[in-house]
Parts: sequence; structure tokens; C-alpha cells
Amino acid sequence: MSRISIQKRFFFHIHPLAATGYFAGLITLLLLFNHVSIVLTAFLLIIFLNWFYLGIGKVERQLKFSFLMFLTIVVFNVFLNQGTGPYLWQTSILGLSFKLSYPALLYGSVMGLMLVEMLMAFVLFNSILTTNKLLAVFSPVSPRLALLVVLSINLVNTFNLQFKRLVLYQKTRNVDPFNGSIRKRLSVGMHFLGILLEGALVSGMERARSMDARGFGATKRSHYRIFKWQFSDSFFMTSSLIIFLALIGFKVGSFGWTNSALKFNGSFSVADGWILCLLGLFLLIPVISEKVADLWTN
Amino acid sequence: MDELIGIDHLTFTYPHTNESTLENINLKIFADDFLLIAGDTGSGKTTLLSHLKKELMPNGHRSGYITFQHQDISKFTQLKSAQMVGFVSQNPRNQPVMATVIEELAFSLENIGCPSQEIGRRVAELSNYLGLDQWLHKRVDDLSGGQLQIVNLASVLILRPKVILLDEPTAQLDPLMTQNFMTILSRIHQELGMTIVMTEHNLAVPITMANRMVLISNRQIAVNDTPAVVISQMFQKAQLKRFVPEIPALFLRNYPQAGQLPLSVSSGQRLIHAKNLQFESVNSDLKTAERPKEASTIVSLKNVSFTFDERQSIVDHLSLDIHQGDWLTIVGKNGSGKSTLLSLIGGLRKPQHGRINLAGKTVWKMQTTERIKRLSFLSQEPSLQFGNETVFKELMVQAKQLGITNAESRAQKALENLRLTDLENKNPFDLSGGQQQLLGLAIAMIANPQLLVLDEPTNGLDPNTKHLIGEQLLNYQHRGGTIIMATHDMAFAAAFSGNCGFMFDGRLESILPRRRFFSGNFFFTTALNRLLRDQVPDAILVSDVRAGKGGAK
Repeated sequence: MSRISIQKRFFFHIHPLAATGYFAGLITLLLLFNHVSIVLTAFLLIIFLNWFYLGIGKVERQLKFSFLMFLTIVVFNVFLNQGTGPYLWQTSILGLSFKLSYPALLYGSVMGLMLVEMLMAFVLFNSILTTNKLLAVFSPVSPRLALLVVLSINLVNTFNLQFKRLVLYQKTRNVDPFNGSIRKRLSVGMHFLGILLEGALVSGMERARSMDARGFGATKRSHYRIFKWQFSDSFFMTSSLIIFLALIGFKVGSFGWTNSALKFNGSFSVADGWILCLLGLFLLIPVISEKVADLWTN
Repeated sequence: MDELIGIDHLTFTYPHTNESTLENINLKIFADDFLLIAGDTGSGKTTLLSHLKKELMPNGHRSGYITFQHQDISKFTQLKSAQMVGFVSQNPRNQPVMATVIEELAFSLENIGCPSQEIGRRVAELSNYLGLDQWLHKRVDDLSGGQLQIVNLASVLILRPKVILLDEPTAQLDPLMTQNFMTILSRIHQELGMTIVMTEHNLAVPITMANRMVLISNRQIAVNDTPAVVISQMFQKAQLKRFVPEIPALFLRNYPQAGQLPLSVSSGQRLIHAKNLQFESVNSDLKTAERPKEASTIVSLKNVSFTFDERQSIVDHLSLDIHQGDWLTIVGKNGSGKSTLLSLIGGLRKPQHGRINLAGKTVWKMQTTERIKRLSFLSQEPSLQFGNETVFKELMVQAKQLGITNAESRAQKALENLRLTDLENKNPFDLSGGQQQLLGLAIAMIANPQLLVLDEPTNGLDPNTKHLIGEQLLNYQHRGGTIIMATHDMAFAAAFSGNCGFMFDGRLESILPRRRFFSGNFFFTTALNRLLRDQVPDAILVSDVRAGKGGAK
């Protein structure tokens, strides 16, 4: 059964302002709570959302990409927080002792998962809020600045493509960033960055000339795509806002958050249960809205 | 006719140079003109073109006047300038700023504050006129160079300017896309009455469309007349002779007095029939070296298959043997897989199936240092192979990588051979496209490798520089080198290569000696072969034929 393209989804077609508001709320909420069960639930639901809208292939690639970062955070936390037990494992090498602390492992894992959630949320954000929608949101404030931000985002893709081609063709000069010592690879990487920046400068100047030649900066920019606010946008925003405010209330009451890695544990309270349910609901609003939108299909 | 642009006594000198680039230029461009500006590399064509738009005017010392509809062009507001004069540059990839085609078309109108509904109407109108409606939601990154150049033209045309300036717009396009692009330009000129001013090295198609042509030589306008007159004068100048396209060159060489100089295959055929002109074959001095009978196999491909995305094979079960001393040219349109095949042969990519052996060893398993001593690769975008501060340093670094003992003298020799000596202290990224191409070739040849793999080596080069490259590659071949080249430059392939083959459907089809290849083709062949295939079927170059006995002179 073939997947429905993201462009045919309700969430893709909501007003850019509503989508921006939702993602701003989402990123905020992901940072507000670090209870194990809440973070784990949010992680699983973000994976579900990305699978629903972007497909399993993209989710796998995202998880592969972010696994190393997750591991790094866990390792750092485990090494830096050895003071409090219970300890899962202890060893001593050459006079140096190491204690694998359960709270540190738990805390590191949660922090790592929070980072991965943010990255995956950002990928979904990029897919829903395309550059013309971003322009529509920021143009009323500053049209030129909005366009320059959008151009920068577009250039990231170009930069990536150029980097891949650079890696390919620099092999003819016996320059390979994936072979040799760490120091050599870093040096080659910096060298490549220099080449890319030089190339970007040259093409950037030509592009700037072309923009000038087509009147960029001559007068206040208009905008081609106009997005009209619909009833469905109001429904989406209102429901998101109510849940968001409720969760803020919990945060103000200091629920769902532990400051210290040494005091981190997996204990669960009623308030944590409420946060978990409300956050889950917030994350599922787009999918619920898809189903509601389906009911309105002729 | 209404004067649109007037240039009076324009003299221009770039900063930090003693000699002016343009000297006392006087030129009038009228509404509905299609003006072609020609000249040798460095003659000032682009500098002159840049002066016709306020935002493009280069920094430097300038005297004289440039007017647009009798108003000083430098006094135009940016808004007026954008709506009066459009500009399309040489490199299609350096113009677009937006992610999709529709956004790129809307970009220009958004800049001038056009209301949203008006933008929608104009985009709809233009995309239907140019047939872009199927591409509207495509990403700009996914378009080919030719498609992109059409989008660039559209994004300028949507402003409805009075004149469009184009700076070698087809330099990086294959023949098919060049033809498409020029056809659109012709439509715009004829159906909309738009004034076109264009610089170009590849004159074969533009001279059939332009009503006026200007030749810039020694910093001045040497000739300002119809294309036929200017081309005839170019033919008399040694340094410009190679710029003259095949068809007029054929008649200027063999039947200079026959009548109105034909500029296209069809006008050539008309003249031949009208005056009963005869041509006969000349025993051409075959420049390509004969392959020694006992030549060994340098490169062997066995059942090679490669795909990027597991949906479509770019290279599909391809087998090929290249012998020492061969010069194989692979032709085919953009996207046919030529570059991918070359990158496989060059050991830069590994095929999913099959083997590629270079002198008996699997090419991607070779140590890089050993591989670059045996095989040199020149990519389509040579700047991706640069990485040092100066031209000379690029060659020295490569020579040291290769373990060459007399690195400095080899580097100097390479610079001399490719006429880069004056540029040895320049930053490679500051060089023009053609100069970068020459530097890339110098880096490739400094190794004196067994095999040269060249991807579009004549991209964006003027005819004289192409000839220089051709001669250098022939010398290399005569010394026992082997060349595999991908190109869509038919004239270059016809003049220099040994064998040619088509890249099609993931395979190399019908590899034949160049003469048989081109004379056997109907579409992918030289203009001369298309013109004279009835009289001299094997002729592919102007030098292959001469006036026949009994024909009118």
C-alpha cells in the first residue's frame, strides 16, 4: 500500500502561522519535562509522527544520524556523574576507578533522547513549513530579512550537494576526509570548508548580481502566495493552545522535571500521569486533525 | 527604427590596469534588434554587455555616455532598470535563488511589489507560453542546465523588459538544450518584438537568428553589420578564423563569391542547388595516431552496473575494452550517464556489479597514490578539484603528490603548454571558467598518466582554446597516452577523437571510428556532414572537402 504524500495531508495545508505556533509550542514542551516516562512517550510519538508524515525510510535515516549524538551524551553523563548510587557496575584500571551510576545513566539517556526528539521535530518542521510558508510568516515583519533567511536555508541543501561532489573529486588530488588519522581528517575537513566557502563566495556574488538585476531591494517586496485563515486553523490552534497552557501550568507547579542528575529516578506520580497524557495529546493533534478532516471529505 | 540604447564614446578601464578594456565604443541598438556581440576571449564582450545595465556596470574608470530611450542609464532607479533591461548570465546554476520553479518566477515580481493576483496571472501566462507548466513545482536543484537556463530566462522575461541581455547563455548546455533555448529566444524576438543583445562564442545558431552582429577587436568595434558581413571579415583574421561556424567557413573557403553567404544548413543547401556547387573529398591528414597493432588493453570493463537509488540503472551491464593509444569519445545528452561512467572508470565510485580493471588491477581497490600516477581525471567542474592558493601551487602540490622529482620545471612546462604562465600567481577560484578548465587539464596532464579521463573538457571554451586543448591531447596520444572523453561538443569530437560511441539506456552503443560514427548519424553529427552527406558522405569537417571540378566559383 503506497504512502499518502505529505503534500496531500491536512497538516501540510494549515495556515503557516498555525503551523509555526504548533511547532513553537512543541519545541518548548519537549524542553520543559525530563521525566523518564514523559520523554520516552514523547520520543515514541515523535517517531510515530515522522513515520506518519515522512515515511519509515526517513525515520531510519534520522535515527541512524542521531544515534551517535545520543551515545555521546550518555557517555559524558556517565563519566561526569559517578558520585551517587545505586551503581550498576564498578571497575578500576591503572589506579583510576569508574562507577556506572544508575541515576547518571538514566539522566544521560533522557537528555540524549530529548536531543534526538528535538532533531526529529525539526525535520518535521522543515517538511511542513516549506520556504514559501516561512516567507509568508516572516514577510509582514521584514520581507527582505525573511527572504534572506529562506535563501540561507535553501543554500544548506546546495552546500550539502557541493560537499558530496567535493569529496568525490578531491580523491583525484589524493585528498580523502574519510581516511587517515583523526587529526588528518579534521585538517582535510577544514580544508574542504575553505574550498566550499570560496566557491560559495564566487557563486554568491553572481547570485547577488542576478538578484539586483531583477530588482531585489528596489521597493517593499510583495508576496505571491497568500494564505487565508480557515475555521480548521482556528480549531487546530485553539486545541493546541489549551493543551499547551495546561502543560505550562504543570511546569509552573514544578512537575515533571528533576534538576539534578544525582537525584534522577524513575518514580511516577499522578501529576506525571497527567503531563504524559496531555503531552501525548498535544503530539497527536496533527494526526487527530487528519482524521477529523477525513470526516469532512466529500 | 526607434533607438533603444545609445553608446557614445565609451572608454572603460578596470582598476589597477594600464590598458583600457573598451576604447571609444559607439553603438546604437534599435528596438526589435537581435544583436550578436562576438570577439576573441578577453576582447571586452562581457564588459560591453555589462555596461548596458546599471546594476552590472563594473567598477573602474569610465568615460562616455550610455542612454536608454535617450535617458542616461546610470540615472535609472533600480525599479525602472529591473523592468526595462533583463539579464541572463552564463552559469545557469548561479542565478536561481528560490527552491522551486514557481517561486523563482514569482521572485522577480515580488521584488517590484507586484500584487499577489497579478503575480499569479503573469506566472500562469508565461508558463503556458513557454511550456513551463509541467515544471512549476519541480525543485530548481533537480533541473538540468538547459531547463534551468530556460527558467532563468523566464524569470527575467516575466518582468516584461524592453531588452534582454544574455552573456554566453548556451556555454554550458548540450546541443539539444542549446537548440531549445535558442528556439525560445527566437520566438521571444519574433513574436514579442523583444530586443536581444547577446555575446557568444558558439556562433553557429545565433548567426542564423541575429539581424545584426558586432565584432570587438583591439578594444574597439571592428565591424558592425549583418552577420554574413561580420563572419566574412572574421574569416580573414587569423585569430578569429576558428570562430567562424562550419557552414559559412565551408563557403568562404571554397566558394567565396558564390553569392549571399549561407549561415545555416538549409541556406547552404539552397545555394548549392541554385548554383550547382560541387564538393569533393580531400585526403584528410588524419591527425589521430594509428593504434599499434599489438596495443595492450589499458582499461577493461566487464558487466558493470551502477545505480544511485536502486530504481534505475545509470550504467547497465556495460562491457568495454580500451586499448593503449585509443581516444574514445562518449557522446550523449545530459543525464545519459556519461559522467557517472567516467567516475566509475576513474575509480571515484564503485559499481554495484562488475569489474573495472586498469592495467590489470581493480581500479577502486588501487591505492590512491598509485591510481593518480596511472590515471588522471578532469571533472566537469574543475574548481571542485582545486585546493591551493595559486595556480602554480596547484601544479606543484600535484607534482609532489605524484613523486615527480623535477616538479618545478614540470609545473612550468605545464603552464607554458596551456598558456597559463601569466596567471601562475592568481588564485584558482578567481580564474574565468575557461581558465579553470585549462588549469584542471594542466593538473591532469602533469602526471603524464597512462590514461586521461576527461569530462566535458571544452565546456565554455572559445574555439582557439579548444584547438589548443585538442593539439595538446593529440600530442599526449602520440606519446602513447590513452584518452576517454565525454562531450557534447560534436565539432571537437569530430576533429580530434579516434572512436566515438553513444551513451544510451545505460550502455555504450555503436562504438565506431569517428568518421564512420558521424557520417553514419543523421542527428548527432556535424553541420558539414548534414549539408554535404549527398555529395561527400564521409566528410565531417570543413577540411575534409574542397571545391569540386565543374562547380561554379
